[in-house]
Amino acid sequence: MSNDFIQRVREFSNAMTAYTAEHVPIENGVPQGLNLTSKKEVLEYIKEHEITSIRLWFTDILGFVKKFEVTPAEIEGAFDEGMGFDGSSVEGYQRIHESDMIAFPIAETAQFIPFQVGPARCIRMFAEIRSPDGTPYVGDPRVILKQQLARLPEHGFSHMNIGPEAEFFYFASDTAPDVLDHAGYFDMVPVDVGDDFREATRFALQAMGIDVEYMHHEVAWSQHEIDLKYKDALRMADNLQTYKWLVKEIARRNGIHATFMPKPLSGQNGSGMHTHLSIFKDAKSNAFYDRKDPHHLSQTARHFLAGVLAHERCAWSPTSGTTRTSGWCPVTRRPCTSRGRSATAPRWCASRCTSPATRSPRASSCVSPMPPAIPTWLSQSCWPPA
Amino acid sequence: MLAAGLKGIEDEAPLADPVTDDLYHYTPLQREQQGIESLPHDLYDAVTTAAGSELMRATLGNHVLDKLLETKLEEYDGYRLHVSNREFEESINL
Repeated sequence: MSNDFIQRVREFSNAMTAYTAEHVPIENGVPQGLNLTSKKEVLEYIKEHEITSIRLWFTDILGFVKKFEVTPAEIEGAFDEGMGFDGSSVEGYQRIHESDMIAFPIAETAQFIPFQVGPARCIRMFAEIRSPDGTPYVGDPRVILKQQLARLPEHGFSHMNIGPEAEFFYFASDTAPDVLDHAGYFDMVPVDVGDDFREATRFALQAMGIDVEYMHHEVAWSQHEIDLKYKDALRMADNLQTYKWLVKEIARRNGIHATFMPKPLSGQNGSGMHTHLSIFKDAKSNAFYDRKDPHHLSQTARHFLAGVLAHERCAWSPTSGTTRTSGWCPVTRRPCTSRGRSATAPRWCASRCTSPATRSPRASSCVSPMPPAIPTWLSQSCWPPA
Repeated sequence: MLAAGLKGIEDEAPLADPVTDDLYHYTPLQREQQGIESLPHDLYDAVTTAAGSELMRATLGNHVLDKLLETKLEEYDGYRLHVSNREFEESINL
C-alpha cells in the first residue's frame, strides 16, 4: 500500500485537534470530554458553543446504533416531552399497530463530536426509549442493562465495571478484504500501517470522554485493538457503541474501511473481544478479589464465573450470533488455564487480578466470539482461532 | 453475563477446577472423556439453546428474545440455502 494516507491522516488529525480544542477541555494535550450533568448544562453548552446539530443515539436489539438529528431549537422540547418516532421501522422494536415510540435524551451522555459533519457542529446524546405511556421500553437494550444492574444492590453490590478489548480489521475498501499490512502482534511501523489511524481514533475517543488504556497491532494481518479503560457497565455500554462508531468513522473519513466482522480472512485470526468484568461491594472493594486465594479469586467470583459458564451455551446466540462466530470456536465450558492465551476456551484469568483490589478492578476474564454488533446489554467475548 | 453470574452467586454454583492443558489441541473424544462440553456448534444450535433458556427469557424478556431468535433463524436459513463457490467447485463433477 502506498504511504499517501500518512499525509491524509495528518491533515485530518490537525483539523480534528484544532477544532476539538475550541470545544472540549484539554489537559496536557489530552482532550477530556464533556462532563455535563443536567438539561440546563447541556442547553448552556449548546448555546455557548453554537452547536447546530444534536444527534440522539439508541441501540436496536441486534446491537446496531440508530440515530436521528435534532436542531437546537427543538432540543429543549425533546428533554421535556421526548421525540416521537416510528418504532415499527427499527429492528426488533414495536409491532406495526403500536408503533409510536418516544426518545428522551440523557443529559449525562452528551459529548462533542470531534469533527464537523458537513457544515454542522455536533454533539451526541444517548436517548432512553419509552412507550407512549412514558414507561421505559422493554425492547431498548440500554433499559434491559439498567434493569439487570438494578439487581446488584439486592446481592450486596454497588456496581459492576467492564473493560473491553474489541478487535477490528482495517481494509483498503468495503468491497473486498484487501489488507493494509502483513504485520502481526505488537509489530512496529513501517510494517504496522495502522499506527496513524489508531492514534487519530485514540484522540477522537478521548475527545468524547472515553479513556484508552493501550492499543496495538493484533495477531492477524491488518488487525488492531484499542483497549478502553474500565468503566461502570452502563457507561461502558455507551462507550463501546461510541468506540465502534469512531473506529469505523475515522477510517471512512481517511479513505479506508474498518470492520468488526468476526472472521474476514481465511487462515488468519478472527476478531474477538476479551472482556474484563468485576463487581464491587463499594467504591473501593472488589468483591471478586481475595488476597489469600492462590488465584486471587474470591468465593463470590467463583460462583459468578460458574454461573456464567453454566449459561454460556444459552447466551451464545445473542452475544455471538452470526453464522461465522457460532460453531467456529472450539470453545468449551470448562474453565481452563489462567495464563495461556491460545485459542481454546472460556477461561478465568488469575493473571489479571494480581493487583490489590483497590487498584485493579479486573478479576475475571472470559473469551468467546464477537457479534457484528455487540448488544450493549451483554458483553461477552472470544478469540476465534485461525 | 451479569444475569448468569448473579444466578451462579444465588445458587452458590461450584466452579470446576481449571484445565491447564491447551484445549485447542484436544480431540473431540479427549474433551468428551474429560467432561468438557462445547459451546453451540452452529447458529441453529445456538438459537434453539437460547430459546429454551429460562434465564435468557427472564433477562431479555419475551419480546426481545423472540424477535432476536426469529432474526437469527432467518440469518441461519439464508446461510444454509446459499450455494457457495467452494461448494460448487467441489461438487460440480459429481
